[in-house]
Amino acid sequence: MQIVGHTTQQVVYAASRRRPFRINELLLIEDRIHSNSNPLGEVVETQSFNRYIPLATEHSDLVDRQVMENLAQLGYDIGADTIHLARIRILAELASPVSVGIAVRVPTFAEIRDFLIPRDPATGLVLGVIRGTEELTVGLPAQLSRVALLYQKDSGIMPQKGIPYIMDHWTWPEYPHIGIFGGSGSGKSFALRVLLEELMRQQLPGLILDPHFELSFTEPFPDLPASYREDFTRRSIVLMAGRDVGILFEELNAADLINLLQAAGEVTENMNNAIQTLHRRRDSFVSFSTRIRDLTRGLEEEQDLKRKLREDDGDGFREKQEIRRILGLVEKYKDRVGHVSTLRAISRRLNRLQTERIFTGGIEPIREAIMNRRLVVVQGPIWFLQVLGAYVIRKFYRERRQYQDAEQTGGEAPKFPPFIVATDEAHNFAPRSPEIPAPARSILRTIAQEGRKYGVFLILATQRPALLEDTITAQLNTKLIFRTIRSSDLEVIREETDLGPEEVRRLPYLGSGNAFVSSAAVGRTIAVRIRVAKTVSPHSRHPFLELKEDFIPPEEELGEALLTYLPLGDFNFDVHLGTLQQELKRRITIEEITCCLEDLVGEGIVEKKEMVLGVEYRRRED
Amino acid sequence: MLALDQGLQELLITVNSLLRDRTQNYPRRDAIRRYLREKIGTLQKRAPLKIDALRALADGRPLIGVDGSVHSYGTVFPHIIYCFRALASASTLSVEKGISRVDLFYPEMADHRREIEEIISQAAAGGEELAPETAAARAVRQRLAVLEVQVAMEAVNKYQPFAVLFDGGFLRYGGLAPAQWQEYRELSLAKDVVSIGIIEEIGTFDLARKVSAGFPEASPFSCDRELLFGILKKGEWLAVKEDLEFKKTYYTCFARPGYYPGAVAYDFFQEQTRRAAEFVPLLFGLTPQGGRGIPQWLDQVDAAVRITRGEMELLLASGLDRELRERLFVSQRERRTL
Ligand SMILES: Nc1ncnc2c1ncn2[C@@H]1O[C@H](COP(=O)(O)OP(=O)(O)OP(=O)(O)O)[C@@H](O)[C@H]1O
Ligand SMILES: [Mg+2]
Repeated sequence: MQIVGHTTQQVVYAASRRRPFRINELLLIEDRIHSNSNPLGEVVETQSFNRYIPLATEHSDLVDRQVMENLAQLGYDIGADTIHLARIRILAELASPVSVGIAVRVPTFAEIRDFLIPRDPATGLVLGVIRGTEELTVGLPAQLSRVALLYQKDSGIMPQKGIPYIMDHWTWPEYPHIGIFGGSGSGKSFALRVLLEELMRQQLPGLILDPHFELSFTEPFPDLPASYREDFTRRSIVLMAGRDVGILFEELNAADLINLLQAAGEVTENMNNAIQTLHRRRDSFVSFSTRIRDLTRGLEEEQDLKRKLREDDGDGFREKQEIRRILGLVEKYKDRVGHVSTLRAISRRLNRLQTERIFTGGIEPIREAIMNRRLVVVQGPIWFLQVLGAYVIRKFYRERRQYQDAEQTGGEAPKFPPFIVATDEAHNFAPRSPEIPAPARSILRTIAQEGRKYGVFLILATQRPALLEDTITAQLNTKLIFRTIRSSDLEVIREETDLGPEEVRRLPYLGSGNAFVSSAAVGRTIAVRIRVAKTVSPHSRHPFLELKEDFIPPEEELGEALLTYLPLGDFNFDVHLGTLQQELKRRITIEEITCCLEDLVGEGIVEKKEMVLGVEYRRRED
Repeated sequence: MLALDQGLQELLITVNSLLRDRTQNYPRRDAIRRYLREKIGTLQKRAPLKIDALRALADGRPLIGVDGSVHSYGTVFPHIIYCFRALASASTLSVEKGISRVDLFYPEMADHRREIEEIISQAAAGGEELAPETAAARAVRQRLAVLEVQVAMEAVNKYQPFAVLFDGGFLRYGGLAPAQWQEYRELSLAKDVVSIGIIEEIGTFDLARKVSAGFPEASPFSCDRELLFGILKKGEWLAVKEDLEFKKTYYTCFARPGYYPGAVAYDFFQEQTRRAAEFVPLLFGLTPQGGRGIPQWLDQVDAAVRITRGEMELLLASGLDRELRERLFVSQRERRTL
């Protein structure tokens, strides 16, 4: 292998007659000029061709097959003139171009160790394998082997072929936030899961908003070797929004409440004033909404109520007292809350939040998990998560800031740890278009811009980077980019990452689980295959497999069960009938059983014998 | 210049009308084909090349392709360097592994200057006044032809081929390298090697003259190439009668191996005239239908032997001092584009 053609400081071509190049492989350029350290290069484009056989002729776009066959008859071997060519990007800054003719070779592991491995697996995030390093595993030390097993849908778990890709999260204060971009089925959720597993391994606390109900970590990935398994049950907790967690109304102040209501519809200046006026500290949902309802009624029916009060019809003392209370509210707030329609609008928004069960439960379980350095996954419908997420993130961020500011100024504030916020469908939480209401957008933007100072980091996954708020996109210092097809998304990737044109061209064709990692911390793009996850989503079964496993037709189910009771016959049907019914949780008749056994005889699984005591069915032996 | 030059355009239109008048007055295609059949030879359709026939023809021996290339550097005589390379490749090996020879010609070298003077005095003996530049050009052509015949000869000795394809007609070798060509001819005939010259640009007139004589009313064809354009059908060849002897001691036939409507010509040694009927189908089978009519193997040899501009630059950069290069060889014109 040697350098050919024109070269620059950044890009060279290498040619080889015998060895085809592999995309993304790292090669060492034995440059005499830069001899104190031979520069490394990465193969970004490969080609193999026979330079004497033209690709296209005037009338046919392929070589004339008949001619090639005839030539083969005369002994010609097309492979004999094949040349392998690679475009290599140099991964160092050179003062002058590499000279033509210089040899290129596969480096040894020792020669690239420092370059590829920023940390050892114990203190970094092991996300996968660096593609193109398959040949470099000779001499790979034990602590770097078998740390990133791979997975392929058809072949199952596979060994770690290559050098592990280890993300150095210690650089996050300088280069914060991660984006995970890619089209449907490209491997985002899979990668997010792997990343979260690594966070748990490092005991980094995190809040995960999971609109897909897929991020739980209790089920182990099938068929993992024992040495690779890891138990995350005590490092993570899944909470259901609206059941386990919600927002305690009593803890809201007027500003919080206004923020929340915004999620349910626009909040006008008038509404804003009205809420400021009417909300009281430690109001419950009931006390606050009743106040609004009563005031609404009072304003609408003021004259009516006053008349009722005047009429001495002897009717109930209590009703009069009620009317007096309402009129008292009217008296007190009449001039400060504007029109009834304003109050109505507030009620409508409140009711929406209430019916979505936003005000059920509190956020204490989330706080507790974060304080214990666990990963807390909140699952729920996306709209709920937006509202709850906005509230929780804002609150925690404030607490974290107060704590850290206090630490620095010597003040007093309750302890609050650094934490990570992660979510899939990030473009829903922080949409680019300002027209789309999104309660969490502003807090996510704030964290994107200044979260690193406080140790608060974002991990945002989305199918549609083009729809993600652009200041946030620009702040994601590390981007994992999976298969992407849409041109608008490709455009964003072209602008917002250091992916070269070759890589962008490959994006539409990446296999699931393959990604380019564009990282400001590393300063270049790395092609990575994400490792197999150690856990699976509880509902990642194929729907048809689910049918097979969970929706067994009754007769099949009965047949399965009967096999465990063999031998069966007239002599013991009634003995087993009771337990059988308990097992299958339904009524079963003797007829049904004989019928089913006859089927099994027909299938050749069971054989039938005439015995003294009548018929006997037994498992067929062979 | 952005717009088309109107003056030039008008001048071209007059050329066009002149040509159109003439071609309108040509004999019709079927008349020409009939004439060819009656007076010149037979029009034969391509017969598919059977693998067995191919094997029988080759009998385990390779096919050789021969080609040469020259690249010049410099613009003002005598400061022009010519680099030559000739290549004879056997189909059983990679093209590049063929037999190759290189040579160089620089009019300032004593030997070469003498060579030029010799050509001039030879011409003078025949009553011809040659400028040194013209003599040098002839020397260059001779050298290339000699080099090509030499590698062909070596290849015949080394590979024992069943056939040798040359890129170009036999007249050139006979004229420019007569001694070597004669030696090659004897060698190949003795070894029963069939030699074929593949002519892409037919430069002869004999056929045109003969046909035009048959149609005294029509405009005459200027050359064979013009005559044959569009006359043969795809996959057809014109087996010229043996007694016509267009080229002394060679036998030439014409063919249209693919889609391109123009014809190519194949030269054989006269002694092997009878082999044409066997070898034309082979040549058809080795020629891409969509190409320019050259057998694939010869095309590959052509690509491999060519001294490219890039290669020449690298060679010069490594072999000639920069200052000398600048002083003697780089023209103002080149400097302008550099
Ligand atoms: N690292 C990987 N190794 C092997 N297979 C993978 C990997 N990542 C993803 N896959 C395969 O691709 C499938 C889809 O991946 P995933 O669910 O992560 O896609 P996604 O990008 O989240 O898609 P969507 O946007 O539709 O949610 C997985 O079920 C798995 O079979
Ligand atoms: Mg997904």
